[in-house]
Amino acid sequence: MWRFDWDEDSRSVAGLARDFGRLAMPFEREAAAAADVPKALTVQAEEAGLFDLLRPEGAGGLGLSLLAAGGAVAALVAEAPSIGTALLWPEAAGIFGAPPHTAFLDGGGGTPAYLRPATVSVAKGRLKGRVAFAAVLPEAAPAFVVARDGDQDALFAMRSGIGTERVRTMGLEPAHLAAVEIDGEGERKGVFGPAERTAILCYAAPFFHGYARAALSYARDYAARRQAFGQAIGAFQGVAFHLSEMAMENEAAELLWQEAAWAHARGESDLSLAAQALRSAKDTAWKSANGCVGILGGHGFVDDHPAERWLRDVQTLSALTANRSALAETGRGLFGEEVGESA
Amino acid sequence: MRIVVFVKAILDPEAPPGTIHFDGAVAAGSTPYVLGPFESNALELAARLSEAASSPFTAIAAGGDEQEVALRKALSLGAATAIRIDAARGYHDPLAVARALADAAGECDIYLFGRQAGDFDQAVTAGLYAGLVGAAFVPLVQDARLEGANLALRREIPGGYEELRVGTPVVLSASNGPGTLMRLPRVKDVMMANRHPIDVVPFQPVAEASRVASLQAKDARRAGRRLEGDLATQAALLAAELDPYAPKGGDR
Amino acid sequence: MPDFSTTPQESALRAYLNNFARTEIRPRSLEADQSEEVPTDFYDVARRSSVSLEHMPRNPRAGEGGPRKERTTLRMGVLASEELAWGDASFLLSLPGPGLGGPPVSFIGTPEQRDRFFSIFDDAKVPHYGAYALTEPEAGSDVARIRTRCEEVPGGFRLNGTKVFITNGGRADWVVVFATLDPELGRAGHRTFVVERGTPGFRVGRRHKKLGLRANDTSELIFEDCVVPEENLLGGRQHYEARQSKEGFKVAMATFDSTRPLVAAMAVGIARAAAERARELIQDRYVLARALPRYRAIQAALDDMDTRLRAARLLTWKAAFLADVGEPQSRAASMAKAYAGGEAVRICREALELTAESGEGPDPFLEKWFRDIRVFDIFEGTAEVQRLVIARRLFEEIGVKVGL
Repeated sequence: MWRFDWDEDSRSVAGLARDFGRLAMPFEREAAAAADVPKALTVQAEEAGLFDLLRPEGAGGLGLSLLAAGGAVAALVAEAPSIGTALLWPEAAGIFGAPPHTAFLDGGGGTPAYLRPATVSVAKGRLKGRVAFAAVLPEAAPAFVVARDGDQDALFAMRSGIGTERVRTMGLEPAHLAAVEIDGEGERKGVFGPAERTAILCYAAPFFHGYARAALSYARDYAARRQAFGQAIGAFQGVAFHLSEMAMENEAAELLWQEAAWAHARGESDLSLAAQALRSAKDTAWKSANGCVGILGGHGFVDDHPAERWLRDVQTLSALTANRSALAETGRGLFGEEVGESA
Repeated sequence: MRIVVFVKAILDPEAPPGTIHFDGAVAAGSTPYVLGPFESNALELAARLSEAASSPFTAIAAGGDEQEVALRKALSLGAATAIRIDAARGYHDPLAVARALADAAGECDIYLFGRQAGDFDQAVTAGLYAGLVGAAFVPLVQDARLEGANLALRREIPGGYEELRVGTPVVLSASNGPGTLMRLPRVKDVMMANRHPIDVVPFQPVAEASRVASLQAKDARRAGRRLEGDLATQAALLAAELDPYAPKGGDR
Repeated sequence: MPDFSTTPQESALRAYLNNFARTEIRPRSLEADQSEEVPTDFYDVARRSSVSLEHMPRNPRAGEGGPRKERTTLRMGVLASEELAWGDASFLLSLPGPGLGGPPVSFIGTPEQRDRFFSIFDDAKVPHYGAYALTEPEAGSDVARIRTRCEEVPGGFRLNGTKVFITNGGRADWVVVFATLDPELGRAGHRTFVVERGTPGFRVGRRHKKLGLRANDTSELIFEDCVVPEENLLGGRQHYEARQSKEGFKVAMATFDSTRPLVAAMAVGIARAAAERARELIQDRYVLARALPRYRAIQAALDDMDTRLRAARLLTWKAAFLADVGEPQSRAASMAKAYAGGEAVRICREALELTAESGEGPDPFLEKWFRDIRVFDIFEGTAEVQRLVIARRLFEEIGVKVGL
């Protein structure tokens, strides 16, 4: 029966994530300047168990569903977007049972094989290839790598043979974004099919949703305070309607990823649904971050406020998710298997 | 080592105005109760001392269902037992409250309070409690360590800190400081805390207790006004405005 | 934990109504649009199939604190609205029942009034209608500006004024009419009446010619020295005296909080019809020796339509859920209405656009839905009014009242 309320556990885990976010928020600027998350915060997040949200219980994690964990991710990122993302985004491999601080490197092509060429392939148990842009951990190995194995993608655990070279990006500085060369032995963990890909898309969406929330509430608070022509700028409909629009889009995108995550949790994972949700979350995050910069005016353009940083972050994060395969997947969802990507 | 911490949930001091009415009524849809700030300091001390002594601690709150927030927080930080004294919201004689807390706690070695409740700031219950159970009382503690059977306590004094040594039983009131900053609970413990039972015991108000006869809202704050004229005139106007004995029309 | 499944009962209702819409509404739809009249045989079919507005809430707050079953009305309502509007929204709006007049009568009507005005619907042999008359030529969104006057006369009130755009106004058995004792009094001067057909001084003016929803009756109502008996003052005299007199306005607004999710659901139904139709039409069409769906631009457009449609439905469901469990939902209701209304308009336009290259003129259904959908971003609060409501709620969250 459809409902939109949260259970006690999800609420309190999200509450804890939010508390951590509030604690981390004052260090956001410092983290961006140092291109790293302060060590103490990483330790605290680890002790609190924030890296264990999705890891199955059998692998020493908390085994939360993508829906419950996503709620916590969004709550944290809404308070401390850059640090929250830098800490949790690289932990995606936990979904598949990897221990904490295992990088997730997607060199697969998706299914069917003609959609996108894989960038990492396997021959005689040896993985070889390159992932051009990924969020890694300060210490590159170990990693879970998706690679093309015969006619399907598969997931491999690697302990060595991973060379990272940090790349310069336009944002998300506290995260370690790198180009990765892969050449080494891997232990095959299993097929990386549509269900696994769906999980990854569902994992990504709430990060964007968190940014959207942060940007909306920052812009709203500013609009309530900032005076122009004798009143708060929020009293002008040009600004107020912009905020309403952002709020509406955020709510819509939030419900879309929740539905996709919910479907995945009950074993009905639907890649095209998840791809729609992620695309929607990305659009919304961009619109909110962009709107926030706009509503702050000149203050949005300078780094006295976090708005410009969030705009850069969102666009960087967007580049980290696989646009092309996601779009092709939705085309497939609408028209069936035989329709591929073209023109 | 038997440790008990008394906690209290208060209306969120950061809740947006308008969601909470002065008589405690709450706007529909909002859940504005949070653990009091100084109780969070007491809770951190309880967690530390309990770890050091390897003995569990108990958390007790007095009030209605809204106190669950505080007790669940205590459970998530390691309290083994949570007890709620079922008292209606509103004013209660502090001595009656102290008695009820003492009855629920039983005999312990360390009794921890926040230095004052974050809502009414009365700061009397801890002192009354110490008198009631005949224990030593150290207010405004900012850090505590176990040293054998004794406690080493740190307090801020003008220009520095002092360290006190006390034996048990002792009543401490915790204040904010680097040593009492409440840690984050672990996700797992937060979830466990949700499943932990909370014991509810009845509250016996004292017969002769004072009671609330009526409540009145404060007058709304007056709007600011601009002082006109040259600097001297403005200064004179300001002085007249601030002078409590100057004759004035209307309410201040 | 959020859940997105329908109960077996809900799924059955959806399937039943979808089938009804497919077999009984769609085949009559285009002709009805042309003749601007729902054919009378449809009412018999609907009655025989037990398709009525019974599952639409007369009063979404009925049974608050009562058994849970009674509070699940709005969720059934949005599911039914989507399916029937998927067939043809004009037919849905033409189904007999109290319509928008229902909520005010149940919110504030005295037990005697509720009995009197609702009992006419028990006779299902002949279609009966209620209507809701708020909008005037010079006052729509700004309810406080209404100019229809009511003045006290012995035994009742005398009404003078004109109401416009009244759904089912031309055939309603009774109409809930909002009037003012004195425009100077603002909202406090508002009074709500139930005016019955045949009351001297009350007549139906012209029937509006419209862009869409043409088969449904939308009329002008004229009150000229129309004397309404005291017992038709909704809620009775004491209702307005006891509550500082602003109740008339509040009633008008509360109606919208409960009906916006239903309107949003109808918009979703029409947009879904258009998206499905566009996909069907495109499926087998070839351009430059390649099936249209193989073009990335077409895929992207259809995918986008599908995404927005899905999001609109979820917002609608959420607003209905909050209403049913008694949570504050005016923000959610406004979001659902604004999002669904706006996106549905875009989706219907996009559907027409995607299929336009055939050179055979527009598909008649897509053309009709393109016209029908436009009002969904207007009635029961325009797109702008919804955004005002949302913005006010956003600022309220941080306890700020900006001058919106």
